Amino acid sequence: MHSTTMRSAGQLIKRSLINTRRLPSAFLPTLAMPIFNMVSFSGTFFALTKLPGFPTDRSVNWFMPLGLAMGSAFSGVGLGFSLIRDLENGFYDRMRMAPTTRISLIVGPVLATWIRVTLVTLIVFGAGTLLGARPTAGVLSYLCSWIAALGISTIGAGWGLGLAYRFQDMRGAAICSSQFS
Amino acid sequence: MPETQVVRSLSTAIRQTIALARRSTLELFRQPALVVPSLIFPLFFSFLGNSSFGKTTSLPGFPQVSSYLQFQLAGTITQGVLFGSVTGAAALATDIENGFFDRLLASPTSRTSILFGRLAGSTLFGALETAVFILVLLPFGADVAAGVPGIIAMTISGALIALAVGALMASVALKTGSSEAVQGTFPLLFILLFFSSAFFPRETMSGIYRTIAGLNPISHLVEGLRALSLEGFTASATARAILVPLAIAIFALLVAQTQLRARLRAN
Repeated sequence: MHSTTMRSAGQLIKRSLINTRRLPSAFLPTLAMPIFNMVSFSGTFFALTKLPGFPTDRSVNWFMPLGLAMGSAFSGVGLGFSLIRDLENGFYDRMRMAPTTRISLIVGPVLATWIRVTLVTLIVFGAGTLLGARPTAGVLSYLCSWIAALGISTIGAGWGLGLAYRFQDMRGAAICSSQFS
Repeated sequence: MPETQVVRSLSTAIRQTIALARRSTLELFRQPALVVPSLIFPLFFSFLGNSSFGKTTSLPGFPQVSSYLQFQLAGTITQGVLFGSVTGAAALATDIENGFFDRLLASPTSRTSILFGRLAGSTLFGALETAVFILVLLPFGADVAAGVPGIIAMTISGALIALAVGALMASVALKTGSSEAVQGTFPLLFILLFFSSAFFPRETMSGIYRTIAGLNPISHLVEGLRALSLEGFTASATARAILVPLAIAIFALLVAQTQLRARLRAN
């Protein structure tokens, strides 16, 4: 990819990660809900593992991917919310006036989402392992799950960005949340 | 105070409560966007649960049911009523934020009617939600073993749960005066719901989860309702369905009254 694109994308990644650090309240639900769902579902629906033909005897093995999918999807959709904020407060227009490639306005935030999703994935894996998750293929399971999480977050990001560009206000955000729920 | 004055002030308080109750009820029904999610999502989850967990009814420890929906009906009602009650309390907080509460205080309005009028709307909505959930799920296999008397008892129970949760949320509204703070308690209710026996029986849980579910008041609310669905119209089932939410409602109303007095003193 063009070096200007990557340089611009790099700065947007840095901005996105600094925003995440400065506004942890925006990121924490994306982190807390997957872990909460994994923990509560594993305990509440523990008896599912006793069904004949159930593929695992550990409920957390079954529900850890749910937490992962949820965290990834919401991380991706969160990108749409950030874009709507930037559109509403004029930052996006300033970016468009800057000598940066247009594609970097998408590549940068999506790569930042991937970094956030990697963090969410690591934490969900850690919590799942502490709860007793033992994926059957070992490290390969974790690696494939991480790649799947990146894919889900990219789909979520694409959807969120599309709605943000289409509506350019919080109506897009409302549709994002309700559809991903 | 002479007896006639007591009777007169009581009848005035009742009239004011009815007027404020009418306002809070109309407020809910005039804004469908506030109430439709608490109707649609629980129904969605119950149908999803029925298709995902239909075979779990044969698991050891699972009570005898005709379908998973019969088991899930109580959880659906509790979920809907819980989420709907937050809306009424958020409206009270909005009244505090936009000054309507202060205007009521400046008028010769009974202080208690301000609280009870607001809670009446939530209670009525809770009863309506319960009736809607039962009527929608009944044709799909959510049998109520207690029959029509049981359905009436479940509706009363749903109303009492709405009153109990509404009063607790109203305490938060009166304490903080912020609708955002009231909405912020929603995740807590969500967590309590999922760590309860709303979706799966306690008998199938193990370890710390079973202990938490046992201590969780939502488990007892749900199981009271479920008893009418599964056991029939017995004295024990009816008592559990009505008395448990009634006890929590009385406690919650006392807490709400305390917070109201604290706010009035601060004003």
